[in-house]
Amino acid sequence: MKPQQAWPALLPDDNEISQLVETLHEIGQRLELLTGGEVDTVASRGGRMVMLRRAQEHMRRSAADKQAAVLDALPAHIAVIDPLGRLLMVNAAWRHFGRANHLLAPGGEVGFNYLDICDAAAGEHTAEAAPAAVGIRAVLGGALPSFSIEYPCHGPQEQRWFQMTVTPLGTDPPQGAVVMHVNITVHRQTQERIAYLNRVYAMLSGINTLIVRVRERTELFREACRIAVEVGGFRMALIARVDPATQQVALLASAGIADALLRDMAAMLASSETGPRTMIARAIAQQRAIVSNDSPVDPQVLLGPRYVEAGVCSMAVLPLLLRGEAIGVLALYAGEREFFHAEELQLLNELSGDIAFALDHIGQQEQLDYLARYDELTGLANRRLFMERLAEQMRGAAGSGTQMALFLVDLARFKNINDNLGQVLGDLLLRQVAEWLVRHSGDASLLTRLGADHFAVLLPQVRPGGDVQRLLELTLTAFMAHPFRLDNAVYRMALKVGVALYPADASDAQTLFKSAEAALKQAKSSGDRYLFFNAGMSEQRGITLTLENQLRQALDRQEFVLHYQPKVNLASGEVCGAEALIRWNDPRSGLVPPGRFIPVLEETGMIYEVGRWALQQAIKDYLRWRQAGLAAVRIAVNVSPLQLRHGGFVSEIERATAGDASAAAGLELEITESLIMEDVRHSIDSLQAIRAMGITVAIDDFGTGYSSLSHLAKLPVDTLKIDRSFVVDMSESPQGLALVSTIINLARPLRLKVVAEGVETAEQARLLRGLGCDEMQGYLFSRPLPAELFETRYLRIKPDRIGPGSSP
Amino acid sequence: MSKAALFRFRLFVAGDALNSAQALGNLATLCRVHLPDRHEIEVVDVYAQPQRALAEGIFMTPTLIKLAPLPLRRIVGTLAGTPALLLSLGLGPP
Repeated sequence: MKPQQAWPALLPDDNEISQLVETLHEIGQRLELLTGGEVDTVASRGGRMVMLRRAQEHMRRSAADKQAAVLDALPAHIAVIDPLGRLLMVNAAWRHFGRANHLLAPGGEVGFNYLDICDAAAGEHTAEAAPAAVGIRAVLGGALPSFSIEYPCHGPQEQRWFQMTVTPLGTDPPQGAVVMHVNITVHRQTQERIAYLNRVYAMLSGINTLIVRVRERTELFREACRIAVEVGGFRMALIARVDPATQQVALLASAGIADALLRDMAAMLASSETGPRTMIARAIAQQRAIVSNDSPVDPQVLLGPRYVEAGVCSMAVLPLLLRGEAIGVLALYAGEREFFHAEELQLLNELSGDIAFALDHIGQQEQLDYLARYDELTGLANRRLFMERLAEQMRGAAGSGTQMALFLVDLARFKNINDNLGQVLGDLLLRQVAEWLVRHSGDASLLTRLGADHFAVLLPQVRPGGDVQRLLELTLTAFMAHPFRLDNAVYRMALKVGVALYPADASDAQTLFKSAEAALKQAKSSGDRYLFFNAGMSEQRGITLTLENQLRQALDRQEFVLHYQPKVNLASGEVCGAEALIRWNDPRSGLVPPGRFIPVLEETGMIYEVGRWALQQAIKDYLRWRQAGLAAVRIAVNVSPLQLRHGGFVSEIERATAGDASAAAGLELEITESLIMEDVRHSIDSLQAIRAMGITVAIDDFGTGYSSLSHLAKLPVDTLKIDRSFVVDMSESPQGLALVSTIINLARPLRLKVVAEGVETAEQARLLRGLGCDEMQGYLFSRPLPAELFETRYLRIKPDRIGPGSSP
Repeated sequence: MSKAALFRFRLFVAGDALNSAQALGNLATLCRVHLPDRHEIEVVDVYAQPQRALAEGIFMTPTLIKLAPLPLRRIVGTLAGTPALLLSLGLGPP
């Protein structure tokens, strides 16, 4: 082959080359000089651009400098590796930070093999080193277009997170790769905080739903803890309560806490040495949240190591504050360090406030329920609860052939003893009597104290052929023989009893009760110790029948009239409303007291028509007052069960107001609590429709029904009327006062107006004003008056209607 | 009239070599200050388009050609020294 021989022949000799180089140099210098250094290139004869040396050097230097400067300016740690993984180039951040990162150090310098460094780290403590090495090899081998992995790299003081990204240099096959480590700690922390907050929000919403739904303390506590762990993602949750009597802290409910740890926590709280130093005790004493965001090493966390075993790294104890007092705590334990920051704590404080509020309401509700259904003195069911149970028993027995006996019991001579010994001993005696009756009747739930010295006992099953009379005689004898001890003296007491039998004497609870009452009345006026109800006692029934006929005529002849009893604003003393009350003006005997005919109207269903008349009459009176230029006040009209249950009730009201907004504005409907509660859903619909017309709604006799707080909050009503019996009790016992206070406090957050009925003494008015009751009505201010009298006495002429001639 | 006249330039550069980059920078500044909204600049990299340099008889870079308004002018160099440059471009004080 020729070329080998030709090759040396083509080479010019050294001398010639050096001459040419010299010429080139001179030409270059001359060109630079000619162009003043302002030119980068000149064109050769063939039009090819030739770069001058100065420009060439500059271009080379500036490209390298730019690259290095850009890389060094970046905060990311960047290195270029060759296809075998050897480090070709690293930037300033890489060199600087290398020592603190196991994936960079040791030996993360140019010339070392980066894959070796990763392999070495994988053998030791960095879980992510092995997958990192795999990823780098995959990119270098062309198997992956790029690779990325996040890994923790915590320093002794702080938590750090990095993301490593590997990008190939060129393709097919890659000539190496760029490895970049970016510090993503802030990003990661932001994500964590968002996740924490989301968990807390979810928990908050779960527990708030619970608060609305749950009516019972234990369930509220237990469920709140469960939601904190299951929804909130906390490791453990705990609720503790301060015993008001002993001031001891008791653990009430928890979730996620092992029994052994729970026992130790309780022991620590109970110890007089460690108890006050616990975060729980401090949260209660200082009434503020106590937080440890690094509980494993925090000296204020007494059980720190035990919590570490349970995976807890931070914790917060939030006091449950109620009226300036810490009634307990909610403690939350998180698996993460630094969980509880300002935002989380603000939300959690809201939550603890909600829980405390719910506890308070449950407490008030329980008290209200108890006071409304039990006799304070003896603990027996009161009349209302007993009647409910009686009706229930009768429903259960209906048609089964079961016989029942109702005994109404009167404690003879009690009034004498009470007057002589004083009320304290009298109450003691009544308690002993109640205990004796409970012992001998066998079922306390079928016993009631009806009045001062009245009791009722239900025998739910009279065995066929069973001798009620004989049982009764034995019992009465035993009672008379029983020594009641009071003040070191022995008293022997006697009973009077009226008996009614089901189903022989009555088919419903009210009638059965009335029958037994009639029998007792007769027994008391006769010398008998007891009497069974008999037909002779039902003469009363005949009287009722006559009355019924007379009332029908009264309706036809328009003998009913409305009387108005003013309602007075307790703060201003001004008349601000009136209750319309039906009166019967009997041409034979004059005004008939309502107690004598209203029950008959209700029993016979005539109340439906009379009620409708009353509604129309009230609207008529109201519009007439307005017409006459008087400052008419809203009239409250009572609605009977029959009216409300009637399907067309709402449309009937619509007809009565005839779409007149001013008529609606003058009307309030009073509906008894028990009536609303009979069918809450239907009631709500009707009441909403009524209120939409501009008519207001009042709950009558509040406290006597069984409304629960949850219902009360949902009911579309404007006013609560406190039953007269509560007003009477209010000035007679602390319990009575507490009950009225409770009702007023229940109403306030629901923005209900509270009206007290049957106020008869200045003392009652004073107490009501003190409790913040809005309005009152009763004989203290005025009895119910005929419309004309009410009008002249209490309705002012509207100022804007006063003409020039009518000045005072 | 002359104030509204559009200035069209063509600048021949050698990549981002120092003088070329300076020339482009100086031209851009000049246009922004003296010819706002009435100039067009076309940049021709002689490495990318050597045939255009040949066609237009460009022997050195950077070279600026003022295409409009006429007369055509060629200026070689970094385009530093504003007053002289303005004069040669017909933009000097009257």
